[in-house]
Amino acid sequence: MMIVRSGFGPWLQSWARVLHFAGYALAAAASRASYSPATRAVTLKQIYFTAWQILPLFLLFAGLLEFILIRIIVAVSREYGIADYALDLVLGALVLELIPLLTALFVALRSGSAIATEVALMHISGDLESLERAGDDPLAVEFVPRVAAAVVSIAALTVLANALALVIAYGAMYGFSPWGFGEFTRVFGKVFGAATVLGLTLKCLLFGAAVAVVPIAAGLEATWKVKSAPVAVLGGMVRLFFLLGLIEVVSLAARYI
Amino acid sequence: MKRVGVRSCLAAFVLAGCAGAPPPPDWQLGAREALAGFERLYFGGDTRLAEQEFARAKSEIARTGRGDLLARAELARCAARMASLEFDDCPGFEARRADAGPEELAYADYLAGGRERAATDEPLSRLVAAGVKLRSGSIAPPEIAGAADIASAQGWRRPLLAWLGVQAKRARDAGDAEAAARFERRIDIVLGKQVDRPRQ
Amino acid sequence: MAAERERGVTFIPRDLGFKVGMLLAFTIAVVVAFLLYVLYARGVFEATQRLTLVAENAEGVGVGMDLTFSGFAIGTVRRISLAENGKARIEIEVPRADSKWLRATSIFTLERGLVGGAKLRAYSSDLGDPPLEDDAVRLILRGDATEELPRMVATMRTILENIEQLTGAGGGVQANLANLRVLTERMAGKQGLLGGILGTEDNAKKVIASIDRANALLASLGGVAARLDAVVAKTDQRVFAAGGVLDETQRAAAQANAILGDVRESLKKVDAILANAQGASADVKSATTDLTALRSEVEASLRKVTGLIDEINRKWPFERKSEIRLP
Repeated sequence: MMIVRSGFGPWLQSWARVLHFAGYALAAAASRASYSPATRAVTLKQIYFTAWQILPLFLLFAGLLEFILIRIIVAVSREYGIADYALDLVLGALVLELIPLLTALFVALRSGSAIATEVALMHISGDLESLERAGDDPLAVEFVPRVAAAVVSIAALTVLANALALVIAYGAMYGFSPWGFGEFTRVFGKVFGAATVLGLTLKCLLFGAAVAVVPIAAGLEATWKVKSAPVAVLGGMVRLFFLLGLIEVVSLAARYI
Repeated sequence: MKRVGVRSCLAAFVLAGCAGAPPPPDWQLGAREALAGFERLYFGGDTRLAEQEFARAKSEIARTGRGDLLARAELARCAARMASLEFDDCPGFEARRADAGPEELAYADYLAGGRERAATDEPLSRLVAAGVKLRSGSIAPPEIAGAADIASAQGWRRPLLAWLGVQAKRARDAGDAEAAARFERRIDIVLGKQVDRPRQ
Repeated sequence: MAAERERGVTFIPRDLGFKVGMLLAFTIAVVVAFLLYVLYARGVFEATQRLTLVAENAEGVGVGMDLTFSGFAIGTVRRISLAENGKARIEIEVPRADSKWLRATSIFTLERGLVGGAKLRAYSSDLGDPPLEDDAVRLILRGDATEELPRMVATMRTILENIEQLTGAGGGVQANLANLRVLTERMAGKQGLLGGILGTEDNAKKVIASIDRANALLASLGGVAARLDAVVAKTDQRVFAAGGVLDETQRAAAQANAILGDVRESLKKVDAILANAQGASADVKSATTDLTALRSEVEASLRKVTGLIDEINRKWPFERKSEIRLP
């Protein structure tokens, strides 16, 4: 029988755990000791699974979505006579807000649940304890690499998807001619101020951190019973999506208010 | 467009001489008279005498050494032949083309059908115009009858025979035997077949 | 790690490190390119010059707005502040590459229509003038359509008031209408139109009397004119009629003509005699024309012309009634 934890108290407790673990992860990431060849290997593997494996599919999906959205925006803005602002809209809405969020959700869906399950199973099967007994810090060996990998992957995927979006936007507005480059640069310069670029970077980092931290914390909630794993994962995913949404809202507020 | 026929041109400088100025030189009078004789004889039907008159006219003009006047005389002859439906490309004038002035060249163009020119009220001018039109194919039937009338009024046998002949042929081609016969009868009158002629 | 422990679960490629390294390297390259592009787009690599525009009222202008020249953006507003004299200072950054369009005599305007935002525009009348110097300060001309609205409303109000006055009880329109009524009443009276215009009946009678006198005068004038006509006719007679002066002159001229004509005739006779003489001297046998020869000649020439006649026949076929005429 599944024991479902519900109620406000346990919910707060889960969040407290997330924050607790986030603090640890941050501290560990900052310390030199975490960067050993072993951890590097884990990190690389995690990046491989998170980012490289789905790169072609992701870029295809992102490209298609961007293409359709940009075409719609350009066509509708031309119809309403506000074609001058089409590029503004594409850069502001698509590149700064939509693509990072979608990338984060994509990675969260794929790798977040995998990480949560993995950690939960490791916790249940006692691998973590055996690591501790062996003298390796599980935080450093298993968790920090995953966090780092998630951050790097989301950042990389976001960057690549955004680059694709910029290329598609130029193509949709000006075709293959180089004459629109000056105009494009001008609007680009207007939209991407120093504050905006920093904000985008911060948002990507936060997304990346969230995608790894919350599932790991959720995985660690699992008890010795195997059946507690799905519950943990479930709770973790919900919290993850909630956190992603929160980050997005905060960034929007910071930009426009 | 000048509204003067060639004959009037010659007449003009002859008459200019008559209008109170010193009397014209006798070459002028002689040439004028010879050309008039040529016209009369040619249209009357005396080809040989007409040619003699024309030769005399040319010799009178040649006394002045003016090639353009000679060309002009040739044009007058050509015009007379045109009026009688004897079409050629004026070989006499062509021989003198180098000497011809702009007026003569213009008139030569007109005879060749190259340009248009309004005819004066003089019967010869109108007849020449009718001949040019027939040659260029732009003549209308009333004008054919009109040309015959002009020749008839002047008593010019040759052109009258020519124009009546045209009308007779047209009637024959149209299958109108009675009209053709009528034209033939007129032709016969001109040729003296139905008239008692003095026997020589 | 579960993945490592059970080899069959996940496939780990050998060159994993290489692949991930490539991905990271590529991503970092894109990021660097992106940052450089941002810097380039922001004009960090561009030399710029500063232009300050002073306006009475900078309403509608925001930081980041473009200064346009002929519809192209050549500068960006970087800062808007209030000067000590209470006027607004708009600081604009113009890239050096575009500063050639701005001259020392350029004019700057701030336009604001009824709808929409403000527009900063620059106009240069003569591109040969000296170029705009760095850190130049210029006054900006301001055109605001919304400022005209109160004036328009006020004018409309005045017009409406005037109309009200005109059409009101004591106004001009009423007075005119009253006058018109009196006029038409008079016209409907005994003397009719005349009475209406002149006012009283006596005046109308006077006018009619004077018209009668004028008529009488014209009648008498008519008599005088008739007499003049008669005189002119007589003169005509004397001069132009048969036996009159002109006729005599004409007769004299005609006589002179006749004399000349006679002379001409005699000359012609001389001509004819000469011609005949020549003809006679030429050949006695052909005193009369050889008609058979003539006939054959004419037939020969007609044969040559057959083609032309056929053409004409095609265009206008022979019609008896139009072509046979009595001479």
